[in-house]
Amino acid sequence: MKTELRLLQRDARSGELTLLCAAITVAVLIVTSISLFAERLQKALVSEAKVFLAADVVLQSPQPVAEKLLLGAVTRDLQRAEIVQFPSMVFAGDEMFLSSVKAASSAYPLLGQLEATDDVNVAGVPVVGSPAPGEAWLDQRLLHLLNIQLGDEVWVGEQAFTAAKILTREPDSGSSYFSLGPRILINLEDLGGTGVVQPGSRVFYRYLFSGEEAAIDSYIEWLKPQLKKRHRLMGLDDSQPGLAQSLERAEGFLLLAGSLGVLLASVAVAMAARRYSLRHYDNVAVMKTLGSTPQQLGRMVVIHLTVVLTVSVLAGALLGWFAQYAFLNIMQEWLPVALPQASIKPFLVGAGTGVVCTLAFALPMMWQLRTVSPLRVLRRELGSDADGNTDKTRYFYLLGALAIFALMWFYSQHLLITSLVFFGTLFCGLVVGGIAWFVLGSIRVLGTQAGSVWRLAVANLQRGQLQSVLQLVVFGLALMLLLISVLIRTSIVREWELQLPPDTPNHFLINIAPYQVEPLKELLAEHELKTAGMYPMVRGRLTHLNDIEATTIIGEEVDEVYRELNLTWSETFPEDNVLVAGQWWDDNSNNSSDRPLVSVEQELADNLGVTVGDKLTFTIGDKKLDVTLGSIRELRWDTMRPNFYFIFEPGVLENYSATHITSFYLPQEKKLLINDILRQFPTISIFELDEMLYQIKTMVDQVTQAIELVLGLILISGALVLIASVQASIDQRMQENAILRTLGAPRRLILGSLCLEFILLGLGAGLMAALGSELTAWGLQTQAFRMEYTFHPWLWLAGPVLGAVLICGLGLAASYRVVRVPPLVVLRELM
Amino acid sequence: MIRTTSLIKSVNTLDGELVILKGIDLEIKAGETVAIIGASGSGKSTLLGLLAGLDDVSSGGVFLNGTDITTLDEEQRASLRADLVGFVFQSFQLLPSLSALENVMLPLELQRRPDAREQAVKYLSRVGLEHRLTHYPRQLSGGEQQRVAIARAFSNQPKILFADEPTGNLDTKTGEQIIELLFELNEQLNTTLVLVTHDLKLAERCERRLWMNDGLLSMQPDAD
Repeated sequence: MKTELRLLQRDARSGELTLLCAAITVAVLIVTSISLFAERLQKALVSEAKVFLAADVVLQSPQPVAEKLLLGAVTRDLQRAEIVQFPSMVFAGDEMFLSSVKAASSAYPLLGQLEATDDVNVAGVPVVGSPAPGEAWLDQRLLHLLNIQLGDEVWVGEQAFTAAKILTREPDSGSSYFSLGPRILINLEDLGGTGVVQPGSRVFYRYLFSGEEAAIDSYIEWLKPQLKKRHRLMGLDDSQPGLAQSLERAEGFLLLAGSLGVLLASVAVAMAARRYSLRHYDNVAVMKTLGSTPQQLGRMVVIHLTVVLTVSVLAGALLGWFAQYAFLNIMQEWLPVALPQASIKPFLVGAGTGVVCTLAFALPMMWQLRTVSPLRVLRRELGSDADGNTDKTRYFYLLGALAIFALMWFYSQHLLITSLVFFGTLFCGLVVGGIAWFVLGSIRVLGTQAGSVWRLAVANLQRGQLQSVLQLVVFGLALMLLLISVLIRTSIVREWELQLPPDTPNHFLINIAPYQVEPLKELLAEHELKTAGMYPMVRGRLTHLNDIEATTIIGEEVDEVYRELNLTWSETFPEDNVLVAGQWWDDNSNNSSDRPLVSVEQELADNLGVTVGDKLTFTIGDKKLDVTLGSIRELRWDTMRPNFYFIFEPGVLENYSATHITSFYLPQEKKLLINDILRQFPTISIFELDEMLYQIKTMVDQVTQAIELVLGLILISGALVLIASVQASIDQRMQENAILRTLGAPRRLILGSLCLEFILLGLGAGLMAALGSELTAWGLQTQAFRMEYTFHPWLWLAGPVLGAVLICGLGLAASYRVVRVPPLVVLRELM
Repeated sequence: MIRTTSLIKSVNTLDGELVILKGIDLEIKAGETVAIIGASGSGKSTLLGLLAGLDDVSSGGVFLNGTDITTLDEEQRASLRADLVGFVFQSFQLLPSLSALENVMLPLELQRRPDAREQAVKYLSRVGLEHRLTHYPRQLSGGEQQRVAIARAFSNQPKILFADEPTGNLDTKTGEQIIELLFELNEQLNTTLVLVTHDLKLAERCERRLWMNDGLLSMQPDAD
């Protein structure tokens, strides 16, 4: 042991281990920092998402909930708040207006903060707590509508309140979704005094809970079996389907970046280990001559690697911690909530990565040192099995690849994304490797015909064809990561953002009477506001599926058969829906059934287990309506357009009393137009979604920035891998160029051939990168993020050009020493 | 053809300045064959490197064909070597990525000779490797590699040939064959040969022998 450690110490002093240590450290650093960063960010995003609920979990009910259901929260030490929400007239002097009253206990909000202001002209700022008893905080619009100032008196029912603040934002404005009319927020203690909440009033009771994750989970588990149909338990997932999906995508992006880090790390370690081994051939040969057995040498390798690994993992973990800390510090201003501490998992993942990389990529290469022939002492050209591609080495690499895959999978917990990245890279590597192999063989013929610059460049590439191909694949991979990161940053994120374009409808109008449709359209047109279409809406229940009562065969989890649904009819197929089965009526002349047709949303059709041709029965008012399922549509709920589970063909629902619904985008500066609409059409209800959209957009922005930072880290490591791979071939280049200089070759010949070599390598790697990133983009867009695939022509130009410029630049910079050192110095070292 | 005046070479080491060559005055006529003999570390290879302009001198002058190469920069010295000088090394120093033929073509191409290929084939045939043209160095034996190196060294008919322990890596028999070849070609082309060796038998083949001892040249071996 002592001998091995002494040898290691010598190696370390002579700098031989630096590159290997650095590679493993970088591997651990990348993985640890990304993992830490991703975990904390994810935790932060989740907690921020919970702010949308103003709590970790919310229980909603149309009646007060039995006290025993709340007891579970008390025993679990959860924080509690209560909200009662209902529409009511609010009076001030002679004015009155139908408002949305929210009475909240003092603990509200449990998560997030209210924003309010004391001055009409000053933007709202976060405030602690909620209105004190006797106070009311009002929507600015309500001040206008009631024609009052702050400090004036307003009445809700029989209770007077002082208009204390202008309420500008509620954390949970999104989750209440359909808040009727302008908001007035009062303290729950005052609710009794108003006398407006009577049995039968349209009231929502919301119970907010927050606390330790385990306690919350245990409460939910305890509570669920006791809930009645009227109760609704809202966690992160079911309160905000759009948000949950966005979070899932964000997680996907970050983990993808993490997986790429793992790949890069392995490449770096493999290259460093190869360089280390090559440089140790002589030492090992001498040691063998002096009597070292392969077994002793194997022992030495294992001990050296163990020490190297330990040092590297510790250094990597420490640096990783600093790196994520620095990153998060920059992020802090974008993240409104304090970041939760990370668990130990990221460190374990980082250390695990270091171990796996070392075992899979460093050990096999260094293990081959045992096979170095002692004859090398006499004949330097003798290498070891590591030179060739023995079956054993291949077997080791296969194991290594499997280990990396397993690690990536463990790391991302997402088999599809891991497989896409891993096999996409592998496939590209093999394809491009094969092409490169073939092309290198062909240009050799060309090379012998051409001048010496070209020949030297080609010969350098072709020397050990396998090595060149490997280098090309490595360069290509690094470039591919670069391109993918640009692609994600510019293209995918933009396409993602496009799903919530700036003019996404942010206001819904419902209860539009048929006679109001035309005048309303005119009013909106007058203000240059475009609606997402005016849809008639009839309320009805789905009662029978193929003559069988729906509630007898469909469980409670499909609540669409247990409640009233909004039904509509349309001549034309909705703009952003996709027809997945059946036919739309305009081209359906062969309706074989004598019943009218209905079109159903895909997910609901799946849940109901119905398909085209099935008979559905609805009850509208007191009448039954039999229809045939004519088509199935796929639609996206987060477009903020009116979307319907059921669309009937025209002529079926016209006899039932209908109201209309529409949505439109209202810019902030035209916000007061809502007052005009409400004055002119007092019976119309407005749902204001702009707050919720603002929150979603903010979060998308933050996630985008987070991804950019993660990719920045990957990008830097990609450049490091690039430099390391040039460094790996530097000894050989030094020797060759020393010989060339000795033979009298001018510097421009050497530089020229170096340039040409790197440019050829860069072009090849760039092409591979373009192919790989195009495929990855396809996979990500269509499979992982469920977007439409778009071709990226710029990749095919940017890839090769970037590859040539970058690799030539980095390559020349890294090999500058080659032409600077006097030839004798190099030849001396090598003679 | 070759002349040095008060040639000094020193390097900085951890223990201070180490003077390797302590003032060498040497003159070698055109067509002359000279052996520089000395123990390991005596400075003979350093002298050879300086004569060929492979490294910078500390002080003194080195004249090749009348030109003081110490006044030339690295680029000019390389250009001079391409026109004037050939090399044979102990460890062959072939470019591993080039075939035997391409290795021999290289100096001819550096001189922009249009007949590079023909000349290279001619010299490879001359050293008996006409059947090995497309082989790479790793596919050749040590003796064959050195023969390629000799073909390369003579292919552009240099005025001066520097040889550094040309048989050092070869067995006796192969070494003898190589030496025969070297001197044969040298004679045919009337090349000035400077040969560094510690092999007295080999040195005997040269017209003149100089002993390098502790950084100084003398006409006879050191009394020690």
